[in-house]
Amino acid sequence: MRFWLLPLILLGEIALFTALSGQSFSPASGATSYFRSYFADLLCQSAPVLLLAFGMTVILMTAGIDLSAGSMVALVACAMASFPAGPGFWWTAVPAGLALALLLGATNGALIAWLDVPPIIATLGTMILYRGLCFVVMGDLEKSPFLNVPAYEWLGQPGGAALLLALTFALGGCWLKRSRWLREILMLGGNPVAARYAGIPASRRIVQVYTLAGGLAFLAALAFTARNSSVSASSLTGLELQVIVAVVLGGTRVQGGAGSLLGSFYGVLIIAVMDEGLRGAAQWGARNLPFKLSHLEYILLGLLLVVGVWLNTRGRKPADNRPPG
Amino acid sequence: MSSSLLQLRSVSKTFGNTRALRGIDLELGAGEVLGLIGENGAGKSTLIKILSGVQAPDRGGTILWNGGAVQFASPHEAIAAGIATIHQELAYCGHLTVAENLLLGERWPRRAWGGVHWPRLHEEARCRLARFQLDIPTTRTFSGLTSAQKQEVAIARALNRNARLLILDEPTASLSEPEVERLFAHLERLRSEGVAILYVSHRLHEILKLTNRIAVLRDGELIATYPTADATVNRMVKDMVGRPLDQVYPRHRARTPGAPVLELDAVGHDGLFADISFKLRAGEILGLAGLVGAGRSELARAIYGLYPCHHGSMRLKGQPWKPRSAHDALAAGLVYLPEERKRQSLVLDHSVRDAISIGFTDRLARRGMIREREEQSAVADAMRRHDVRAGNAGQPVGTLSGGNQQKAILARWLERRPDVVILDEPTRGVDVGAKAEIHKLIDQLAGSGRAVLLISSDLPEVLGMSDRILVLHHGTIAAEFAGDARTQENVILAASGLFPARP
Amino acid sequence: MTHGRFSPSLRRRLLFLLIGNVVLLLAIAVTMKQGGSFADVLTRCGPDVAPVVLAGIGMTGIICTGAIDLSIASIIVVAGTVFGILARRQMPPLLCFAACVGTALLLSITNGLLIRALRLPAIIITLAGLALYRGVALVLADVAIPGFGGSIDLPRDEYHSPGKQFATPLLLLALGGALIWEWFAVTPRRWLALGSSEEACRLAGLNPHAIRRSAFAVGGLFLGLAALLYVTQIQFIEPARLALGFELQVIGAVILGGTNIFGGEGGYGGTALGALFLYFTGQWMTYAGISPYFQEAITGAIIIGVIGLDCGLHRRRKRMEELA
Repeated sequence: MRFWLLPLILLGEIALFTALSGQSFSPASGATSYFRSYFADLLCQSAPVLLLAFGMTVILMTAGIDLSAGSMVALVACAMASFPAGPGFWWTAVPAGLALALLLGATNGALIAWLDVPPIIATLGTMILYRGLCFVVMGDLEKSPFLNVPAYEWLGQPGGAALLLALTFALGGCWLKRSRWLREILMLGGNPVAARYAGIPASRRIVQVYTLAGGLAFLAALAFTARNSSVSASSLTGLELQVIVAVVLGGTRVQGGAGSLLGSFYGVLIIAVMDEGLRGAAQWGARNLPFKLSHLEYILLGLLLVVGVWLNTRGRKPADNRPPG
Repeated sequence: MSSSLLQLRSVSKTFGNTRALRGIDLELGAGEVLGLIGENGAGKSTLIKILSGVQAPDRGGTILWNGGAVQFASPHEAIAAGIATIHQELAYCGHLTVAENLLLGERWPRRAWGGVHWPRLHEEARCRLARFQLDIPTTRTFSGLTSAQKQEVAIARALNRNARLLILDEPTASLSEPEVERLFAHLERLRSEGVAILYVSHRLHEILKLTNRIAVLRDGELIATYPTADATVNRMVKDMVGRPLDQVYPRHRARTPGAPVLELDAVGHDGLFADISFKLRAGEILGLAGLVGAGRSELARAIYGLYPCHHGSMRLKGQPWKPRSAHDALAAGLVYLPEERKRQSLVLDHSVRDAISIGFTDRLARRGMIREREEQSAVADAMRRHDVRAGNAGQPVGTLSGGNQQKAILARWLERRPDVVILDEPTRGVDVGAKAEIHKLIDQLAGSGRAVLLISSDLPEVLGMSDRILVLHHGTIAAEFAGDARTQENVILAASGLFPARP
Repeated sequence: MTHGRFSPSLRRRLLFLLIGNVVLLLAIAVTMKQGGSFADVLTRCGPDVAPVVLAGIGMTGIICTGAIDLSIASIIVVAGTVFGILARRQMPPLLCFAACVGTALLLSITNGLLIRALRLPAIIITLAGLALYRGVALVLADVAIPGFGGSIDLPRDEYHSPGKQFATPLLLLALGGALIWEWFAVTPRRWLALGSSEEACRLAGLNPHAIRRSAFAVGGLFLGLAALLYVTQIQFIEPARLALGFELQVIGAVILGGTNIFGGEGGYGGTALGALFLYFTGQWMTYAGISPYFQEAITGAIIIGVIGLDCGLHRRRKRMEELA
């Protein structure tokens, strides 16, 4: 892992897009306030993805994958949206949402750990199932009780988003980095057979990991609904791929056994900055390019993913080139 | 020598900063059996990989094959030239049939219009197996075979390619005595047909028995070559290690074992083993011998809680012992060192520190968090005590030599200070020097009052290290030997099911 | 004579799907209301399942080698966009069809080549392709069509003939050809060999990269056909939204058909049966009057149920084998 690579890409992106957006800082103080609101916005916008990326990183460490992340957030949001608004929302809908999220996560975990379904298949199935349940709950409606819940909106503002993220990344990340639990997860992902010989309770750990991802999906649902205030059954389709791309870009291996939370953090921000930047530079694009600049996002995303992962793996030698042990 | 089939002239191979082979000069004639010996890391595997086209040598050296200089860019070219290799770790396609595995990479018989002629393919495969008196249905899925059957099919596969040079890398590691005998008979026949054989093994008695000439590698250099007639075990070991090594198994522990720690009463698992009863005492080393597939490792896994026991009962330190997972076993003070390091013990790209400390993170953690300073000192202690030689604790454990990997795994488990230690092939694929160190560790372990169950296919090791020996045959105890009855002949007879009733 | 080509678990899955499909057809016939025509169900079945079956056949080969292609939906988008651009310029229909198939073939081959060139796992390369190819399609449409407003419409009927008139014969032809080829050719067995053990292939003198490339090339051919049938069935090609989530639908059919997601085991027949099974389930639910809102959830539950049961039944044996 080249630790300087991701921050460098991020800084380069910010510089490039600031230049392209035609922003001018005539008084120098304008720059500070511009960047303050820029970063605050960035944080709120990407809070749900960041929260999901946390869980996805840990899942990828176990050599798993979670294709159901987007459906899970949508289902939790839909379920919460069917509660009546008002102050009572806080002690009915929110706990119910959390319980549902943990249950959905644990279901993924149980399929993988107890029935031995390969993670990509189990979560592909639950992705379709959870999305289907969204339609069962919501039908074609779009609901927005969140606007009328006191203090709910605050969660979508910089203060609330920062609190959610600080709680998960700073506190959770610090504990996780040094925890015995993570060591066991990494061994489980690196070599499941050896992990079982080493007495690691594999099934229990897997269920815990996916339940944790469920809990984070609940937080992501809070952050999403607080900011977007309405939800429908087809909300957040394709979110899981965005999360996976960000995490993989951040240097976590899909084969398991290694990963970095900080890397995932950068990965999400790099994509968010690009997303935001292309939108900001749309005028420049219209003047200078024969195509819509926003259409370039997909291409850049793909290139970024390949180049990022390639640069990260290049330092490592392929196994068959090592001198024999 | 003009008749030589293969000639190497100053062949070298460099990996980054390490020179795995330096200027090797070697020749091999038709009908000759050359034994290649050396410690792990001496360069044997590298030499084999170069000859079989898996890796390319450095520039400068030349390989003469049949008198002409060759450069094998891929295994395919080496095979086409008539060099067949049986690598140490079998590679096969588990989901394909025996016939398809046997003929993988060759031209399959076709019908007139181009489709594969399946009946003829299986006919061909049956013929080839028949040459080795193997009677395995060719439509069976390969993963369903026993490990000995897999090895035999692999040999049949390699030998059938009209090979003029056959390279075998530790072919007997997972074979039992009668299977080894059969393999040697095949090799003998091939030799008489004029095939040259390069035989690589840690088992020196096999080298003495089979070869005409011996080549010794040490640190990537060819130390000596001499006719087998001039060789002795002592000379070979001295050349391999660079110093004479006493072949005496260490024994410094007390003669009188303590109270029984692990007791098995008529334990059985349907289809794997049955009616196993024994008592293992504190301070005792109990050897568990038997052929591959006799159920030794399976029994160990059952004691360790990885396999269920269908029948009988066990007691650990006087208490009934019904483990449901390895986790239970570790908590109760029982550890198991599995036979395959890479597959069953290690994550090769994790650090040496992680690989060692995973065994006792419960003691290093407070509120679920590992105290890093204590981890560092604990790992450093463990590495020193168990003589794990690594540049630093942060380097990937996969970069260590086999012997050091094995010592790291021993360190992982022995730092828990367990009461019962089950060791499954603790010195397989380990070089002579590390082997002696591991033997010393085992002796110390028993000396400090631990009960040791030693599973090993290395007969001299099991005979030399154990106080008592149990021999398993087809999942049951065929015999138990103690004192002077612990002889090579007795153990081999019992393992083959030929020993009279249990004494 | 089966020549041991199907493992017991694969055989069991095929049997289940075969019986399941017959049962579903019977159920459809029984629940059908007055005026409904059973023959209609069968004629509609061909065009409806053709894209999934054909793309699934391509994907089966790729998954058998132990790789995966997540970018197939985006490849269909590029192929569809190229087709749309040419059709708008009034190129001869046959040329447009060939360009559609050729584009998909080319991109699939590119996937195979990139995996080798960059030495990255297939899942990473094709995940990138999933984003990248859709972007390429959008940019292509932007550049080639002045004032591109998000969708390309195809008014003339001759551009719709493969999807609307010849879908069933094309499907049967391609499927039959694929099954015969699979039975008698060496290449599909090599894919399985590669999926079982790359090392074994290399040591046997085979070139693993060439085998993987061939899987992507054959996969691309079938994907091209799937793309052709997909885009000629619809009136508007919207590059931003076309075929969203199609790759997961296809992977669902492939694994339901008994192909091992880690490679080494599987076949075309299973994939076709799996795709039909999912399709008939949806049809039956419609005829049985199950709310369309429940249908997706039930489909998900079926995938989980069938595969979960299969995995769960072998769990204990698999666990013990894994340890040995």
